[in-house]
Amino acid sequence: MIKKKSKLNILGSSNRNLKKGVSPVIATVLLVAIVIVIALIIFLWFKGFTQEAVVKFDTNVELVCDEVIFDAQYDGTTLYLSNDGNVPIIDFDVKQTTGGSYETFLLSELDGAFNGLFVAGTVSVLGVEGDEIVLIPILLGKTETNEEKTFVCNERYGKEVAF
Amino acid sequence: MLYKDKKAVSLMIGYILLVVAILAMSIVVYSWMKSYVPKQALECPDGVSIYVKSFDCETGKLIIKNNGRFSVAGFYIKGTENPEQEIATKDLSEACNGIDGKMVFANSDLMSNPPMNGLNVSLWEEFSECDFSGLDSIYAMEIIPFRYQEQDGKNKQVICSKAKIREAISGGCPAEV
Repeated sequence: MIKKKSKLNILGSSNRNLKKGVSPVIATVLLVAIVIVIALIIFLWFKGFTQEAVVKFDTNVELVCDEVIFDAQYDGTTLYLSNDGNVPIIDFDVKQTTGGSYETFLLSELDGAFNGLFVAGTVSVLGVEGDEIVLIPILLGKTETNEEKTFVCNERYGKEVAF
Repeated sequence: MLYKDKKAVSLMIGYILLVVAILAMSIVVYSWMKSYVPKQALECPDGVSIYVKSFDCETGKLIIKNNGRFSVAGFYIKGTENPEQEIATKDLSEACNGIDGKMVFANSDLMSNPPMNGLNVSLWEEFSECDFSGLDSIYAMEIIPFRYQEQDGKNKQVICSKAKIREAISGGCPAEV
């Protein structure tokens, strides 16, 4: 009677010594390397989806808007501005209301000589018209690549000046 | 038999991918969020106060006194050019021989490290060189003190806008003819 050796037995008993594998040390090193490389790839890819933060005084510029203090007066022809805080204002977003309509423009576009309201700075601007004006400060910050970039503060930091 | 035909990711690779994804996302979120950590804003202490002890338009003598609890380094001085103007926009520091748009008290040393805030508490200083004769009449003066404070190892100028003072000049200076 011929004993039929099962394939499994044959494989199990005769090939055990021929199995090859990676040394545990090398396996650990490879695993760590793979993790680092894939993490880097995903990080660089994901970074493209997030907006680059604009920073001023080492803080996100959105938080710096809260520290802006300025005063404004409008007498129908002249706009008087004063920076009473410690944050320089590079420009203003002006929302001018006349009757039922309004328009928005930068103060530097209206007055080419206006180049910002620096700390303790004051300025008089001619040429502003309208019944009501809202001034929204614009700050200058830096991106991660050290590039200068302007940021318009939220309208709640603006000041309404009526004639 | 069906079990042998099912395919799946190896457990090991699954763990690696999980760990990698978590690491990568945590780094991205950290680098983006760290700029939102608020820092202590540079502010002038509440006890800063100065006042105009006297002002003589004809002689140009201006005396400023420190009646607050902190010393100050100097002040910005601005004037209004019409009586209805609420915000002073005319820089008067040149008329008072100021430098870089500001007036500095005599004992202040802005170049020292740290800069010295020269006008101490209860002291006063006279500025006898203000000459408004070449200007249109000034109807009010606004004086805003500033001082130097240390933050993050750097000495920074801080404007004390809460301590701003306004002095009305009746009849204007120089007086209207």
